[in-house]
Amino acid sequence: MSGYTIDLTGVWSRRDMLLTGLLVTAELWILALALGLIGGLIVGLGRLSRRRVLAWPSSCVIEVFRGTPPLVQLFWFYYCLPLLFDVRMSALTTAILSLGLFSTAYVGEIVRGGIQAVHKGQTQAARALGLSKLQTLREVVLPQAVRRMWPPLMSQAVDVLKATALASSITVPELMYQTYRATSQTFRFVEFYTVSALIYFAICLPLVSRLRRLEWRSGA
Amino acid sequence: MELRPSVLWEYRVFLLQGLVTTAWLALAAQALALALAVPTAVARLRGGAVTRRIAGAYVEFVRGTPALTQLFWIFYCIPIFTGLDWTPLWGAVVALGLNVGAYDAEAFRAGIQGVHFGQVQAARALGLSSWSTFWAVVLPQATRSMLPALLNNFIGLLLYTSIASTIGVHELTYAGGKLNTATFQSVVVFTGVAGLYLVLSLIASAGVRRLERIQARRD
Amino acid sequence: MVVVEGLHKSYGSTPVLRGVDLRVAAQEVLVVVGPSGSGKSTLLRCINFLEDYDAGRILVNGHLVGKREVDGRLVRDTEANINRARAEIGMVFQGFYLFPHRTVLQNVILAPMRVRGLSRPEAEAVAEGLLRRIGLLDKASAYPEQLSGGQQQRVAIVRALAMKPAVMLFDEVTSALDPRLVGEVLDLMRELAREGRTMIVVTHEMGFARDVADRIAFMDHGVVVEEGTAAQVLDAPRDPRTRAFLGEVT
Repeated sequence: MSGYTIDLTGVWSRRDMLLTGLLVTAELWILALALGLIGGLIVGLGRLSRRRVLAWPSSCVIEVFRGTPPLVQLFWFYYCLPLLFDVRMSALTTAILSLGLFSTAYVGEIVRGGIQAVHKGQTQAARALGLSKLQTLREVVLPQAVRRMWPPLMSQAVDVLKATALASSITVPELMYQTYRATSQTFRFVEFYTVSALIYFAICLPLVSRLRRLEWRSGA
Repeated sequence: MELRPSVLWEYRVFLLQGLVTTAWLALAAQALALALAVPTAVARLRGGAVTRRIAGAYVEFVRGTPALTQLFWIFYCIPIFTGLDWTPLWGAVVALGLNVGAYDAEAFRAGIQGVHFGQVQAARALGLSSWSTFWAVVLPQATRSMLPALLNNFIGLLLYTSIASTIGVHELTYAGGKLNTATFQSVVVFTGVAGLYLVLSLIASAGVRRLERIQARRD
Repeated sequence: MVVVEGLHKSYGSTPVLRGVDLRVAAQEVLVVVGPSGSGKSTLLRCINFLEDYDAGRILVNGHLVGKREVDGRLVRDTEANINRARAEIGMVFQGFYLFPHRTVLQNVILAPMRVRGLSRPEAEAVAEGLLRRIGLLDKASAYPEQLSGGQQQRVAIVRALAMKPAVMLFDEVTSALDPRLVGEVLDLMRELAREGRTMIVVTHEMGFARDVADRIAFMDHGVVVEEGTAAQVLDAPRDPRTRAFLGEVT
């Protein structure tokens, strides 16, 4: 290890930097995920609709945001929104929008898969009783679909958390950005990047183990 | 705001070079990933207590931390530990390879576990050793069922190579960034770059679907 | 009560119903038999418009089902009208299709509350009455997966009955059941027939058909080949196709 000694004092002295970064990460994560859940429900249902007006744009959103790198999406929104719409959004808001759409596409696919997995007979029985399409969706299909959607949704939540790190590239002061700043001040790469990774890991671990238990129970 | 789509054509060589680097990076990382995935999967399934733990920790850690963090850690910290002085490209290959390797290991594990136990029993009954059974009977069948997962991981990898731009690898996203600062045609440049990735992933996805259909017909 | 005139339906280029004419009077039990692929199930599903049809008319209680007249042509009816029509037509499926995320009681009260607008106490009263009648009131809080196949199918019948439909359609409701459990479902259907319910039953159970049917229709390749009382169709079939089918079945 050619004369490199681990020195964590630098990390400790800059713990507020990391803490504020973590708070921004949390804010970005929760808001982007919320956007993704709402948007994903709309887009997932839209994709299944028989009306072209709903199905086509939904498909487009899903294909575009799943088929392009999230980093490029962040750059696109960061540079192009001010030019196209003459708006001045903070980097954080831009990131929330961008990651929100990123999440929307994936949640949309999860919703679509969950609904399509519900046996067609359930829909038939409900419609035969006289329930409308909306009532059938609300009372019969969605409750059953949601059960199937839990594991992939939790997986998505973890993916969005990991994607928040990319927001550092557009100057959002989340954890990765603060870590980067700290290393450029102290050159203590190993300590800071390790601590940073451990922080992410500590947050993800409970989620991932819960996910694992769910996967086992549903027999995946 | 004036749009100059011609910018993409003017700098097409530059963008194409970025695209080639992206493809190269993805393929190199995928090769490394496969080399890591099989031993990891085997270690998790049939290894001793220690190997199982180490392999498990590797997979969990990769799945529980952002790829960007892994990239920075590998690129900056490995030289510190080993005195090795490497280019961002190789740093990215190793980091991405380790990343996808963990996911591919999971795909292998699922595929191996998915092979019907009756197959193993039949092979052992014929006198095949544990090792031969694995290589000649289990792994070939496992490969067929896990191929879609592996290919989907590769498509994800193609897209995730974009993070290499943050450590200065001259791949497509980096090219886009440079083009943006040179021409200020942000909309054209980034839409174009996104479009290139989209085309890449759509072609790859179509290929995967083709393969799945061929597989389904053979079953 | 139920009138089917000149019903035609094709799946793509494959014709499934090639001109079906049928009449079922009020309180009559019609049993439809025939080989698989003859279109029996499709016929039932057209009657409550779970399947759209290409030509012909279907009337239940004098109202067109699924379509309405516009300038002398028949076009697809509005969602609201279709749902209203379905409230009058009860259907029981081969696969039961009870809602797994709801208890037995919740399964039965869902449609009366949401479609007929009954309040919860009203709907529960109706449901409990029906469940008591089939001896499954003690299972009201159980989930479908906890019931046997025969019990589930009887709950499915009761779920349809709770809507107080004018006519009940039964689509091979015993075909997916363990032979031991078939009897309890057929018994319930016999009771309903005795009560004077209008029923159209698609089934393979010839014994049941003979006992319960007021009339039997034999379908083959998308048309009604022969129709009449049980004695006429089962004992003295006129058409060679009917004879061939019965020869195979009995």
